[in-house]
Amino acid sequence: MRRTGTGTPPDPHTNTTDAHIPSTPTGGAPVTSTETAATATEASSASRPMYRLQGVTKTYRQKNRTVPALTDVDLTIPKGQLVAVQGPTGGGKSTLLQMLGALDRPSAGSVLLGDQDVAKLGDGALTSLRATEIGFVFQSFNLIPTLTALENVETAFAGARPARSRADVRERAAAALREVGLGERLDHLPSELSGGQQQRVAIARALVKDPSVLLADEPTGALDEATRDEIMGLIEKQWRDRGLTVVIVTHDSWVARRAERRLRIEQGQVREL
Amino acid sequence: MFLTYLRRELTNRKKQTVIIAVGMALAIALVVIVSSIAGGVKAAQASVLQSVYGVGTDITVTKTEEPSASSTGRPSFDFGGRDSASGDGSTDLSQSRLAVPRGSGTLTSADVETVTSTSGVRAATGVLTLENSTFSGQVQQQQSDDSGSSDGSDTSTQQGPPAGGGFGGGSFSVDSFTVTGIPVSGDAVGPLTSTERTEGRTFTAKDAGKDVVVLDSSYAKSESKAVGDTVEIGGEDFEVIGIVASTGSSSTTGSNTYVPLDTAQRLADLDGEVTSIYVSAGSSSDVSTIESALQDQLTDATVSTEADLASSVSGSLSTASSLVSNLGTWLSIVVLAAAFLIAILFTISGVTRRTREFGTLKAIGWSNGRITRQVAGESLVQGLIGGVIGAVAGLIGILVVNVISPTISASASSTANRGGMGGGGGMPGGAATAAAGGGAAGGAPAGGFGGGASTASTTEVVLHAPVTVEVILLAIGLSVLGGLIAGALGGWRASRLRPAEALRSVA
Repeated sequence: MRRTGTGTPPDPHTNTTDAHIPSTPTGGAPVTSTETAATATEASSASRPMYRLQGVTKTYRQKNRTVPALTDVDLTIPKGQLVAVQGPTGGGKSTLLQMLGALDRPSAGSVLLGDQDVAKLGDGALTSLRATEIGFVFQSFNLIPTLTALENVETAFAGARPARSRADVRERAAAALREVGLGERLDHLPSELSGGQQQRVAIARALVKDPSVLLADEPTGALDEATRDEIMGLIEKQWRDRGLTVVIVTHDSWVARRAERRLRIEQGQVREL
Repeated sequence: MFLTYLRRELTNRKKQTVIIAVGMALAIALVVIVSSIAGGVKAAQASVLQSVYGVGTDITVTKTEEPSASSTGRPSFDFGGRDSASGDGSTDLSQSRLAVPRGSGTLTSADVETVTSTSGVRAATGVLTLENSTFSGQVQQQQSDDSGSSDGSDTSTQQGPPAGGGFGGGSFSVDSFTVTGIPVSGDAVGPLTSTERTEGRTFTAKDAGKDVVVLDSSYAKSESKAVGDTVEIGGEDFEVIGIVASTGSSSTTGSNTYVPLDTAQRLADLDGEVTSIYVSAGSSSDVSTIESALQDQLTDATVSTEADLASSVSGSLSTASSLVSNLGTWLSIVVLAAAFLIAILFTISGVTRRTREFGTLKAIGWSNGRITRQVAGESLVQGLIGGVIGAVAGLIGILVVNVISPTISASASSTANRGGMGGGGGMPGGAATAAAGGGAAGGAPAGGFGGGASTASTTEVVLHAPVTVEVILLAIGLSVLGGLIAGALGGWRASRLRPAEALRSVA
């Protein structure tokens, strides 16, 4: 049985529906349906889906048997929505995130990012898509240990088209780090930064190229509560300021409750919470 | 980003960089030293050959002595008629003998013409190499029924055991030196082309048929001869008109003495005959063609090219040559292969260790090509660092070799047959002294002197390991190659990582 994510699930924070998600949320307060319905144009823009998954199935081969990770998933994520995905380990959360992040192709079905079907794109096109449209944040930060904070952020521009000048890259990377509060730590190696600071660098790296989507895989999983709050505050601020579509995979219910929409994925199937 | 990332990786992963660079440096240093020494050995061989064959000799034609029933194969002296008995019962012996060295045959002037007219031959010179042996001394008269000397001494009798006896108190000496008869004019190729005149003059056309001689400088020094002195050759006195020295690194020239060809032929009773023909090809590419043509035309002769001649160089130079070409080359290959393997394994291991790193880079939009270039670039620079260190270490090694300047003895025979010492001589027991001017010295208690030895040139060559652009380019090329191979394999492995799998494997 197919489950769809395009309904109007109850949301502890915003109580929004897909049709009322703002394209460019502003301010520090949760976005309300009243605010987002202010203009028809905005509503129309927000109603356009960022993602549309239809009949997505992903299986892996382990030795001589086939293991399903996702089974016949239908899901629509409107532009500008903050979505939390929860579920047990091995339930398919990370696989779903990889489909959304164009890191992998489905075994069956289609994954439309805007109007591009990830399932049908070649490796080069997928690389280009990741380079321009998608920002990743990982649980263990995944910074390059030999590069400074600034240089780590600069790596995001390696696939930029058209190529930017070195000075421009440096300036944008520095600005991104200042924006996440690390203006004084540009030349620090990851090993010289705290976990929270490293995750800030990772967020700066993900957002410096101004993507449409931010995908975060357990972004607060390796952090203490205070740092977790800081990082979530930072992600929410960027979501609001930039009008990002954000998908966060998390085990943390506190984090999930801050999302506009919560999904649970279990045994390869998605359902709304 | 490429250079920044590369620099950071190399400096922050010092252990891997150092191991790969040191491994590569060792291999490159070894290759540089072996290549350089090989070049030095080759040059030394060429120098030794030059002292025998002269400059520009591409091919030599010689002939092996044909065995005959009457020939004993050893030089013989007839002391019967010319020796005088003294009152104390001893006999004074003195005899000189000039002959083609044992093992050498002769070619005719017609053969020289044949060679000269062969297509591709620029010049050809026939020379007659002879051995002048002088036996002089006093032998005690003894009565014995045993006359077992195998060398035909019919006036002296042996009193000792057949294999180890002597003349019972006699004293004698054997003096031997080489005499080379060369054309007196128009030498485009031949032994004298690798010599320079140090005193007097060399031959002119007017010297044809005359008893004049040009001496090798080392021989002249050992015999205390100067221009204007006389030297006895084949029982006749020759006037010394000049002295020549080797232009190569050899201390001696190819022969002790040089006389006009027709004079040598007359003295040895070998009119129109030569022992060797020195051939210079019009082009180096013609050498093999000429060699084949000469072998077809002169079926009894031995045709040797420069490569064949190089193999005739013996002594410690030969040992060095085989050491360099065998052990050195294989050692270089093995060490180089090991260095390449180390570089490849460390690079691949590094890629495996950096799986998450590359997975992350792919996730944020790095293409496979960019990651491959990054890995290959790092590996290439590691190889280059090793190459530069190796080249410097190699140059230091070469410098050490050149400072030590090892001296290598080398011997090259100018005949096809390089004889050793003659065996089974019949002159044991006496206080014998022997001097062989040009080659392996005689004087073994139970032996005479062999034939070919008298025509060999034994010399001390200082080994100089040259530093050439080729060697440096070879070092850099090999290090680049090693880096590229390691980088290509590492990059290929990195590019094969699927981003999802790379991230999942870490998770």
